[in-house]
Amino acid sequence: MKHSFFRYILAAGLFGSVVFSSCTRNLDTTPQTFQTDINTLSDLQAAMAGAYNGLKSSSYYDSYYGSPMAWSGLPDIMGDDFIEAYESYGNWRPDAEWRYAADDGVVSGAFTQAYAVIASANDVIQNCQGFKSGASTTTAFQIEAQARALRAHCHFDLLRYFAESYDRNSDSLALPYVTVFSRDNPLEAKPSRISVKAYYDSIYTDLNTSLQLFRQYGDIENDSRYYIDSSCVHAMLARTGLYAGEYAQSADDATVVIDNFALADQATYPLIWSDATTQEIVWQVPNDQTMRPGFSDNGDAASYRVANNFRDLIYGPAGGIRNDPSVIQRDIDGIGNVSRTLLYKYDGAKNFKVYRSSEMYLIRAECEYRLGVAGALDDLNTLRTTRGAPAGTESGQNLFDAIFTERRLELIGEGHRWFDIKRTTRTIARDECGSDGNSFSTICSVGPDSRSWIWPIPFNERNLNSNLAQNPGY
Amino acid sequence: MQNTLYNPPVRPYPPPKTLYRAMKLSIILLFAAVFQVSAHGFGQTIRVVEKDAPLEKIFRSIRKQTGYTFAYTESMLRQARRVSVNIPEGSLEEVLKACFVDQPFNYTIIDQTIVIKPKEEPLTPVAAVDTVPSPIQITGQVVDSAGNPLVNASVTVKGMRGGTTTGTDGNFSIVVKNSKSVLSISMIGYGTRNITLGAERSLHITLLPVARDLNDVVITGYQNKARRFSAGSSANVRIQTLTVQPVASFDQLLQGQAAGVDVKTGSGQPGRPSNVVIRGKGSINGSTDPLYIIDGVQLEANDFASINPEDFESVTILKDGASTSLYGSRGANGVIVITTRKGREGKMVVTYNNQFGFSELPPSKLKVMNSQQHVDFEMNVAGNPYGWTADQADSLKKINFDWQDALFKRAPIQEHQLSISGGNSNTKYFSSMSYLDESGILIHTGIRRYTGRFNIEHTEGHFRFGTNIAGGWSKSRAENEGGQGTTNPLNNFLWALPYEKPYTPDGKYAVSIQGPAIWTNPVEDINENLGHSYNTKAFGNGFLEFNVPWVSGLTLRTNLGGDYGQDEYFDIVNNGTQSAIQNGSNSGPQYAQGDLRQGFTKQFRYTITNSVQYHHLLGAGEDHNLSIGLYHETVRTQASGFGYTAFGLLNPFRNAAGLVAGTATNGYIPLIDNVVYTPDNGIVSFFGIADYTYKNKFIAGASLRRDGTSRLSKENRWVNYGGVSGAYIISEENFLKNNKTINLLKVKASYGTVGNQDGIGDFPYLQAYSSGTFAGGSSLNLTTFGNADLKWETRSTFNTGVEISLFDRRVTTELEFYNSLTHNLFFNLTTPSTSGGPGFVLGNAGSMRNRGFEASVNLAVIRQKDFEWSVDANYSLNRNVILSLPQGQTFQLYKDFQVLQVGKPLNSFYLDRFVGVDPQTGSSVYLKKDGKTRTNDYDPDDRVTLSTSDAPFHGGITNNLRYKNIRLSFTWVYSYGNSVYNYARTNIEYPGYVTAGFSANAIHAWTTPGQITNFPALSDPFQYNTTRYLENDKFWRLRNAMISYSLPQELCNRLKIQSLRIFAQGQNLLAIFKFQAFDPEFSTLNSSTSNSNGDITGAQYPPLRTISFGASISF
Repeated sequence: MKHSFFRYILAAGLFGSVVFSSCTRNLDTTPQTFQTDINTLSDLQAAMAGAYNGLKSSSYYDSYYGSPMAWSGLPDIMGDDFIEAYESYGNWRPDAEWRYAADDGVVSGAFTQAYAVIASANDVIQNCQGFKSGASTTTAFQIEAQARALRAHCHFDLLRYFAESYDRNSDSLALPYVTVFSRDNPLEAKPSRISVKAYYDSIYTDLNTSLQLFRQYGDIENDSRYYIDSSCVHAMLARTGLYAGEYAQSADDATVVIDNFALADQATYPLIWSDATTQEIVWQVPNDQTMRPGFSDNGDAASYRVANNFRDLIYGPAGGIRNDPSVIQRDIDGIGNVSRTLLYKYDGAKNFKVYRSSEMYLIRAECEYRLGVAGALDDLNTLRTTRGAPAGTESGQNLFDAIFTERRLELIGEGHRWFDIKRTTRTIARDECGSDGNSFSTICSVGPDSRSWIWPIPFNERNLNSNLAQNPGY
Repeated sequence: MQNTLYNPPVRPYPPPKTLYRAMKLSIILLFAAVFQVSAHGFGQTIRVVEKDAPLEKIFRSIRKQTGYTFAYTESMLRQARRVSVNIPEGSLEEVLKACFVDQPFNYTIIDQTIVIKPKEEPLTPVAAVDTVPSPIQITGQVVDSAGNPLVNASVTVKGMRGGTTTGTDGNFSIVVKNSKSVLSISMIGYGTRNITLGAERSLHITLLPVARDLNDVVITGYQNKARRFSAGSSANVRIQTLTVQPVASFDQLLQGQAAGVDVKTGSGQPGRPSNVVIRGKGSINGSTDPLYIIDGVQLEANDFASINPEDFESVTILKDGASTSLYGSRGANGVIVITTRKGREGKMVVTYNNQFGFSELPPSKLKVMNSQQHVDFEMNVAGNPYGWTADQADSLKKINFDWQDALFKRAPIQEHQLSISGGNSNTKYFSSMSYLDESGILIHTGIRRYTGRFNIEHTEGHFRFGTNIAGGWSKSRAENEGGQGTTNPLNNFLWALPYEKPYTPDGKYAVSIQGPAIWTNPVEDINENLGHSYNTKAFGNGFLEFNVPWVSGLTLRTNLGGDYGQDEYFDIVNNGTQSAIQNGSNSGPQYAQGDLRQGFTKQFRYTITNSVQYHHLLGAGEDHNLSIGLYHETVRTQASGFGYTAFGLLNPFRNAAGLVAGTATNGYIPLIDNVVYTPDNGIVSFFGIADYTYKNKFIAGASLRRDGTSRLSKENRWVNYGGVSGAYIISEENFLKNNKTINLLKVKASYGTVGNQDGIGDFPYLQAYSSGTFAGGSSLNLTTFGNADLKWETRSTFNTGVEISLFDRRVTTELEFYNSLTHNLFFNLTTPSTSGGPGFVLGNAGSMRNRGFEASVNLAVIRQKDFEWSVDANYSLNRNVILSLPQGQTFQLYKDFQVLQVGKPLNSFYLDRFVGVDPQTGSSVYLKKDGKTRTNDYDPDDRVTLSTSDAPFHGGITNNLRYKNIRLSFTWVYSYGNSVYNYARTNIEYPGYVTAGFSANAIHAWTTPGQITNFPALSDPFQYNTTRYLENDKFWRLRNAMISYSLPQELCNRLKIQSLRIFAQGQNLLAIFKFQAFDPEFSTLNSSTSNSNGDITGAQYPPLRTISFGASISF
């Protein structure tokens, strides 16, 4: 009897201990693979890097089948220097043939990604507040300077696609200029589109504030050219000014960059495209093993080959060192026994070059031409001779055309051509078209009045934010 | 003298008189009724009012009311007098006394059988039988319901060690202490019979198959209830017919077996789980997977790859809110409760099963062009992109290669299982080992699985304890499904050119004229680059039960369950293959010499359940049956994992030994997968269940529960739920008790609420900065918007139903209706892009209703001794509708081509209506939003809301036939009423892909004005968001057909074995559908978005058509 009594006590004790051992501590889990707040200065720096990281998206500079690659490859294949090859699977055909509707995935992908980078930059700016005193002051302000410039840069890129006019004082609609990251209520923020003029105002405010902060707190160390420093902000100002028609200011900004970044000589120039030098690079977006900005498949089999007229141009005297095989190659076998010329600037995984000083020479030359001041031809010839091409003696409209031809030669594959045409002639007629021109693409021209010069506001964005007016024609 | 017996109508058919040999008068035949009520018969009041009626009639009435059966000889009853009884309300004793007043015989009650004997041999009441000197020699025979002798049934005496087993003729002989002894007769697969001996010395015992018993039991995981006394909604799946099907993943076997359970088997890849949805999708972003509980421990569908379904004894599916509320938050999507086989008393029985078979590729309805068609198409329609000369074109037409032949093959399957079972009245054990080797029809794919299980239970005084351990290991070689890339063999073989072959004449892998950067040879990819994975599963469960001796009916129980699983994956792209070349060109130069991806995750989950259970019978005649349970449960899941991708497979080994060290110069620096998803979550619950039955006809139940989850913020973590249920068994009332037509009539209703917190990640309420890399340094990326207000999603279900059994149980039917409302739906609300971040925020958004009707019918069409035919059919209808969206919205674009719209079902398509091709221009014609105007210009503003992708109707029909020892069964399943977007078809109809394999539909592509066709000109702007690719998804499928034969006993005896059964069966032999794919069912793996079967986007591993042969032998 005694024996079994103890057995029951033992059983009850065991039972009770199991019941009470598992209380609610099992509910108090904590995340191990992410953090919820920016707590330290190094968190802040990492968050800034996170904002830069957004540019590596295949919607922005990187590319993947059918991805937007909106500011690296797309502006080139939407232009006239590239022809869709038979090898293409047509992933960018709706865009290369300018027949995007409001539910086009490339258009909405670009829109979303640019604003995602902007939001990260805004978040960084908001988080800088807590570090603007004591030992972290300098770093905090330097980070704010970068974030402001990055925000302006992305807004400017959006403007290039979605605005009808690039004029500094245009009343036509740009997009919302977003300066607040709404962490707690992202659903409620429904900004309206503002005028191009007001939008430029904000871009300039951000860029000038950024410059001022760099002046006050010093430039950052930037040997890799992966970050935005004051030179980079000047490059942004120069490009923005060119679009906005602020030519005098633009030329001044270009000059600052030119003074700091000498052009690469002919021996060094091909090394730019293997990431072996930072010569003449103002800002590049780094590749962390996965990035291949520019064109998809432009290695062994190209979705897009270089147009024959461009091939003849670059292999002629005007091409100079730019016809180096590390930049462009011809006589690559392609489908249909057609020999092809392929751009190799971004063969494989490479850093994307956002700003190079050669663009600054071209910007300054164009500004000087448009302002009617001396120097345009000199700048053009400086670039030509550095590249190993003969100098010229053009003037008047010929000089203007020569600057544009030089832009094609120098900046091909770097995301400029569509915008250059949009801001000047607004007409494209590709001369190799359809199967007669060894291409699948059958829609090969776009006239000045086409709705396609402006991208539509994405279909679902308007569902989510009724304040967004649609662009004309959609 | 010949004996016969009164045969209760619950028996499927009467055994013929000739079956039984002449025996002594004193031999009384006993056999069991399948009636659950029997245990409650004694003590209840019955009504017998008869005038001058034959005794049989009164017996029938008593049997119906009490469940007690009668045993007597025919000759005795011939001498019986007609009787008049007038007892409107009395006990069984009273009625029997009245019946036997002037009869030449007397009665006694043994177990639940009323035994009738001539008066010449006076019977002593059972309690007093102790006059026979001990020991006594007892003999008997054990048979099944068809009268066939049962070999190797265990016969033991309660309270005595040892026992015996029946011989080849089913006979046994055993020595017992005295006539009070209780014999226990049991056998694997059959129910146990306990017989108090009384005066009998020779017994005839019928055992009924256990599957039948289990079908009548609702196993909730916390308690077992007779189905008759359950007021909830549940379904039992007949495990015996299921387990012999050679399918690596158990959940596939559920298809068509129960109303309200929608199973999409989808993939034919061995070991792949299916998508199971119970009573419609109740959540949008939360999980819609049911909860799987095996012996009280939670499992995931993926785990079935390493678990042997032959170990399962019962499968119960809990569907309504009151039943699932036992599982609280985990049970919102329904619960599938599985128990595994336990040992049975008796001599050790060894059973060996095996099965051999093969699978084949079903024909695909997604047709690509053959050589002749493709070359003509290239030359005449697509502008001759390859520039063929006329001569080249002619010679290419002659090479017609079907790439399916190179990739798919007939695939063998074999399966072996050995199980051992036995025990005595105190200790029972079951042990099994199995081996499955299933090859996939895609070359080199397949699974090999080894499992083992050991269950033991022991009773000692007031304590009972048991342990249940199982382990499994499987190796699968699987091909990526759902991929859309040009290096995914299951996807890119459609793009193969029919005039090319996989090998060059000298046996090397051929390189297509498309070029390896565009398209890689799928045969090389599978031969050289197929990965594999290992899955290990260890599962243990122990319980300790204590019957408190001072309080009758009080039990304390602790159940501890642990479940450990680990997965190791290995993917390789070998140096020198076309995929390596393509990756080198497209993903970065470090990929050009091959890459290797390897990773490992492990997960441990424990479940602790402590309970106090109390069961009590109250009142006069024990009319009140009350049971109460209080529970405390903790479930904790923790996991970890790591992985890497390494480059440069320069050494001659096809594993990690092939790698060279990475340096900055060679670029082969490995990538570390620094965020492997590692669950870490816990749930703590307190709950109580109460069940009450009055007079076996009124049933009421209630449960209350409080759950806490780690997935929500401290403020919103706890929630209270509950459920109530009630039922009324009308056929228990006197006015129906004697009804010959209606055997059972029961109405029931329940209402219960359950919460859902699954499928939303571990920390959905927190804003997250996740780790990344920028320029070789640290980066924190904003990946989640936090939502501190996030609450539980709750699902309330009202269920009502009626159960009817008619005509001697020849027709049994159950009809149910339910109405289920989900509130605070988890939904990723799309944020305006201008808000940045991840683009969405998880919120409690709106509400949704699932309303449905379910019917299941069992028809015993023919019940002859030699011939039986029964039909099981079930039908389910589920109507889903969105009731509200947050912030007063009525419309949310959901995925690219579906919407959430108030008043429409979840997963409704939202597309532009494609109505044909303009014969003049070849351009697509669309309907404007008004539904009347036609236009050639695509405009997304013309998109409208269309049908849903979730099938509202589905069901199954199973026929079972038996002729003597031959059994035949076949199961049809069907589903209709939904559409699917065939994205896979766009991949071979997109005009950009004409240089690759192309859809045979394009033979009719528009080329000339006036041509009537539905395939637009290749130059027509291609639009995805139109109904051109929306297809009807209805189907009929012969899921399973099986024929089996049991060897006659005489032959078994000659072979010196106990039993032998052989069978042949076929799976998916026939499917009737129009959908242009291998199969109308496909897994969510093939879909572009999770939680949906709305589109078939990526590579589909075709479902198998399998034929197999097997045998089961016991000795």
